Amino acid sequence: MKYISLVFTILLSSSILLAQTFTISGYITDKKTGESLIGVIALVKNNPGIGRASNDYGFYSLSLPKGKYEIVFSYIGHQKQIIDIDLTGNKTLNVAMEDMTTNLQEVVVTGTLDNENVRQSTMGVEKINVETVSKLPVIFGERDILKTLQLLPGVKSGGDGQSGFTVRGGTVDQNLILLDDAPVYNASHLLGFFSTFNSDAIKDIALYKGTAPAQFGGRIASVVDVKMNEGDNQNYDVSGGIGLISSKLNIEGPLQKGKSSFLISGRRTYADVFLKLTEQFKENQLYFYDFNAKLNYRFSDKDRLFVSGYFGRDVLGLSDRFSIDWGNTTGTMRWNHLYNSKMFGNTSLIYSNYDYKININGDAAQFSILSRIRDWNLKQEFQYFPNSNNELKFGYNVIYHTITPGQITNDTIPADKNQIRNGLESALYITNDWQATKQLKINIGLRLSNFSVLGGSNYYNLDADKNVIDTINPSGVVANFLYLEPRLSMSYTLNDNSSLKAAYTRNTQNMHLITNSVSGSPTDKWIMNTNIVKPEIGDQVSTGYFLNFKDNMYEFSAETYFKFMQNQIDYKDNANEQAPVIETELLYGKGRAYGLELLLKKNKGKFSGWIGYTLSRTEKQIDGINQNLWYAARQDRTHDISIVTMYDISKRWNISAVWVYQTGNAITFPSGKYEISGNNIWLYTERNGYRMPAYHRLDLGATCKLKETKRFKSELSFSLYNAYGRENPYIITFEESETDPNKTVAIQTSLFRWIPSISWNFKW
Amino acid sequence: MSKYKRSNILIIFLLLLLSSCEKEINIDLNNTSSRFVIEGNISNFAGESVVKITKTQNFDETTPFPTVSAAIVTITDSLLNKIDTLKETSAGIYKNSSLYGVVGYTYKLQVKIGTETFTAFSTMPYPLLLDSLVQIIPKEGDPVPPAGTPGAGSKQFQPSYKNFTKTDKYLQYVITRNDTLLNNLIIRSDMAASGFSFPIPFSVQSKKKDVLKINIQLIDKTAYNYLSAANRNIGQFSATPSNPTANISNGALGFFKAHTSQKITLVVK
Repeated sequence: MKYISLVFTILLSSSILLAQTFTISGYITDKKTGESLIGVIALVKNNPGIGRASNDYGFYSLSLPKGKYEIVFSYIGHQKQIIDIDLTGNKTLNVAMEDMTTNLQEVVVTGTLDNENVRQSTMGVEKINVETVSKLPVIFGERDILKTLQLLPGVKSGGDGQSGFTVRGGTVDQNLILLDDAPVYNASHLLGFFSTFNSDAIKDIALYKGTAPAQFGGRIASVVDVKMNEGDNQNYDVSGGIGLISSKLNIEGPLQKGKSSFLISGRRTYADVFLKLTEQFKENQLYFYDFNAKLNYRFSDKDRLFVSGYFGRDVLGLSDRFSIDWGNTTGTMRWNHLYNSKMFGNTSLIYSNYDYKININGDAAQFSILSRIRDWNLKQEFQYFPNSNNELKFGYNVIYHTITPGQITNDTIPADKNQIRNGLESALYITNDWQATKQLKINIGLRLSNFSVLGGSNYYNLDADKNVIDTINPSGVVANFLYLEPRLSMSYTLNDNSSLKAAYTRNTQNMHLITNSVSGSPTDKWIMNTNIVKPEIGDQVSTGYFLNFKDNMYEFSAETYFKFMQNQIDYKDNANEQAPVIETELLYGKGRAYGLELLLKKNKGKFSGWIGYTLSRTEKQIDGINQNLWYAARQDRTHDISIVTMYDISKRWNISAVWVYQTGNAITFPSGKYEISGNNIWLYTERNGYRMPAYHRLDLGATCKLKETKRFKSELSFSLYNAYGRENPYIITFEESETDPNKTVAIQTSLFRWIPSISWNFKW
Repeated sequence: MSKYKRSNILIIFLLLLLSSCEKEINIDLNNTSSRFVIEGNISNFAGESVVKITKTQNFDETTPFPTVSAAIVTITDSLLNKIDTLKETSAGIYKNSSLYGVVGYTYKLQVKIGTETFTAFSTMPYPLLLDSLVQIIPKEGDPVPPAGTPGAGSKQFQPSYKNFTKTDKYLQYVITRNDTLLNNLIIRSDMAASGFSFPIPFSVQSKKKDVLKINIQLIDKTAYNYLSAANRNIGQFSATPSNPTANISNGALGFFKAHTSQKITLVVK
């Protein structure tokens, strides 16, 4: 507690010193659509040290001494706005920013604040511009923000064509993926080849590589914060796309012009239509669909309500004998309230659900297996802007989790309620973005997190050999875990164009995905802490150097990180993933990850793009694996290179190319063989002792804008995935040779060679 | 026969759907030092006890597995302390035609190779008599697994028995088809301890008029765990592939099981 009060004193002391200030505040929107803009920078022109970015709802607040100012508002893809202000009292100033593309000839300056990457205190954060996503080549003609994220240093792809990814040596479940504040437990469709995010419905995406401020928590590797569009509150728009295997449609418009709006977006793949044409697979089904919807309503200048939701489903059926369907549902209701020009509040009630259901309809047995994870989540956040040097956020978050693990039911077997487990996760946090001196900016925060494993369901006691010795069904709290998570990141500006940054963060994680792959699969098991499984703890120290040159045309950054992880989970040797009590198959230990991330980016001009490089190592040490020595984690890759280039040939045409190279994952291969009952048994000597062959691939893309009218715009996108047809291994298996039973061979299966696609996107 | 890919049904489906391609590749795998592999059993019928001793090989070796001769192999009844010796009948195969086990007794296998001694223990489970074992005939219109997929060309069989014990029973079906011994390790657990026991069917690659001789063996949990781990190893199903945990001391691979036998002959319909 001493620590907390000290932090409070530091946080608040600076606000008392200044006197006789007034506040300019308001909302920043896009002029054409009325969509609120996140991260617009409001700067005092004569004193660029004083600035503020608009929050997630487009609200900003700047406190300044009495006087005359020129305030500059700048945002990517929009024209700068300079507004003169004579500040003699508190003032509301709503700003509508003009889109750059609507008035192309007149643009003299670029719309973004050019050196924001150098100035901001948080490090290890990546913002993805949705426009960039639309220019890059894609697989199956479908744009995907999660796949674009994988091209950044420190972020590694989960595999060929996969939307799953790992960050700074984390695993796929150590990423917190939020859609309008709702956790998405499985962010992929169609076995990982599509992400759940329909890029037409997405406004903003930010990725924190383990360095997220204290308002985020619950995962130790990263936070991906995705915000949905609110919907145009000025005009009705219909946009969409038609691709080879999927199509989508997006409708948005005002409910009351300038006050409220709606958005509905849907997608459906139709690969199953082609299946119907084949004799062999005509009985099979394979498709997904998803919907995004959002409503927002402005009650007054001070109150605003948002309701948003996502519903997606994948269906895979092998005749009427076997089918599996899975998907996420999320719902978010948010209420913004402006207490005064310095105090902004948001209350969110969030629902999140992921489940899969397997239906088996055989002669001998008819049953279904249901597995589900469901959250009810209440989040209260206050944002307080005491003066121009501080920006405080504080609040709390309570989540009630319910997990139903693979429950078998049919007409005669009733559901077993004892298998359903509940947990209560809560957190209290405070964070301050503090401009300490002209050069030094500090983001300091503290998060107090608690997890209670709730009784009323079955838990197990295991012996040393991991056999179940006792089933217990306690009431009350089975186990409680309380952690204090400090977060600190700071930047020291060397000059206008360069800065040094450093950060330390601690995160804990109470929900764990038990998976056998790097990218995850729909039937992987989510479990929460139990009497046996403890929260994962991640401590990360990172440092960075940021440099912009040639008038901010180029950005360069170098970041290093070291992460130490506790209570890491891995399968024991020869684990049975189908074991009824999964704890019998698990072992726990330590992890460490360290690396260097380099990024060189060209932002302006006809030719743009970036080169990213990561040098890294990720290891685990778990008693019972590899003689208790440190070993390479599955997702460990030494080198990871991405080269992304975009070129605007003309107003109509732009082309792009992406090349990636990655060291193969660590993997377990046999070193020898022996015979049991006439079968070849593989002789293994160590876990993850081998490497998959290196992965590399070139993708090409081109976009052509078709003839435009005032009302109607459309474009054609062409992509060629894996342009030089590299046979990247998807899996490698070992088997007896078909010609010589004494010979054993390794067989490599590769998935995608030369996948061309074309899609037509339109808007009117 | 059992060339399953290391994957689940989803991936099999995916591979079929997409333009995947397979090819043989060269991987530089490490050499290993050679280890002994001992596989032994004792049944409640005389003449069924066999101990086989072989050695491991490097992955790229193309000769048959080397056998180990001149070992001293004994099986000891732990209650009466009666020692029986098994004689080498062919290279690496040790037998004793008069030896049989008794239900509930624990047996000790001892193998001496040169100066090294390996021991293993197993208890013969109480028997469980099958009421019947019948072939499941698919109804008309039921879909048949397409050729080339696992399950194609196989017939299903349904055992029927009553387990009143409320403890799990572990079964192994050792099958000869037209007098050829099948290698498949077919094992089933009836999950009686969980409350809803039902005998689980199994399938055998066969065609009409094939003669199947099925030896239904009741095995103990250690043998069951070993064999299911061996199946995960063969099929490369496990996320963390490893050697099945042997119940033999001193670093030998393999296992020793005491089991009861019940034999049924069927003609495939």
